[in-house]
Amino acid sequence: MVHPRHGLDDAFQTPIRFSLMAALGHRTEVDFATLRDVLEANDSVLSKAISYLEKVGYVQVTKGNVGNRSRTWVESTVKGHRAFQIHLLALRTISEGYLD
Amino acid sequence: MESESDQPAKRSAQRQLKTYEAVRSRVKTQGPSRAFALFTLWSAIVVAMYVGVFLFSFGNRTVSEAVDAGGYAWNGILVFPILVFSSLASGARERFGIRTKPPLGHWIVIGLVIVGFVVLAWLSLSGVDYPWALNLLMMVTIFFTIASRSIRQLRDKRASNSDRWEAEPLNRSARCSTALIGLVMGLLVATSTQTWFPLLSAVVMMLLAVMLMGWQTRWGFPSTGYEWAPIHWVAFGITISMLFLMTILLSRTAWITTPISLATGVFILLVMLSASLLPLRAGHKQL
Repeated sequence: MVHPRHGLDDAFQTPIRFSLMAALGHRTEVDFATLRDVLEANDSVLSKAISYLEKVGYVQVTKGNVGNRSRTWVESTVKGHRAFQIHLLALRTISEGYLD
Repeated sequence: MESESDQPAKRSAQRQLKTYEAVRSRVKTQGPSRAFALFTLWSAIVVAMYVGVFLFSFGNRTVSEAVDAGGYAWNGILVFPILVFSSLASGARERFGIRTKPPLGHWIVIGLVIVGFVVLAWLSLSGVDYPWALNLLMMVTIFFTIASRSIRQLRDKRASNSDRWEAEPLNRSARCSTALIGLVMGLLVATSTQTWFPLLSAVVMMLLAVMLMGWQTRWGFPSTGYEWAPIHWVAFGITISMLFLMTILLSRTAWITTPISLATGVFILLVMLSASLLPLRAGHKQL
């Protein structure tokens, strides 16, 4: 029997990255300011988390410009959503005590 | 048997799952908001009306029938507002902190609607009659494809009110753009009964293309759409409804005389001019 911890993804091992993926959900774009408020994180910490997840292909970042206003939109990719679902499944298995 | 060494992992996993639920709950209270749902619903109405008016005005008739009725020149009255609307809407969408993206099924249905649209157009040009109810079916299909999620969200009393759509006086560039939109729409309608209307319509489209090049500037339509409050969207809705109605009446009847088109054009201009000056002072309006 394979231990469910093998289903855990290193990309979600930090609280901020885990929470970020939780916030993004599926097929939802969230702007940077809203993410910062929801996650109660500062700009630097959030930016680093987004950059990391973007590098591994789990999130997609879109910059919007309206006049002199710029907005940054973040959404999870299909790959990222699937990976996070697998990670959640592993957590549920572990939390239920897989050896019970 | 579960060993003691598994306990920390179990507790840690449970904590993380609680964090997940807490974050999801917080996000759901933030949005997508009722304002976003209302805006999407309104957009669905505009697009569905455009499709319906187009098909009703120009569909189910041969080219020679259309030419006898005055041709396709009034298409300019129909196309201008929808192009402007899509630019304005793209800016308005930037207001909302959380936006949903439609699923793949949505795009498949949109693709089918487009194919249906092309088929009906081809049938018209080929002189093949088709039941007019197909026009209605296209309208209803496109409306529900775009609006269904928003309708469900609006029916959910728990939907977020986080995006407060505040009514504030427009900045100068948005004010000018709003007035300009009214001027051009009013001009198109006012001159629609003139023989040189097709030429004017073509010039307007060229100017629109130039305006759209300034997409990202503060003078661009997206920036104006971002600034607009519900009152501006209501005014725009009134004026494009009039443009859509004029398109149908001009292409299908002989009711529209020069005085009527002039009066309607002036009305449209006044509506958008008034909207450009409102609100007079900052206020709060929650949707």
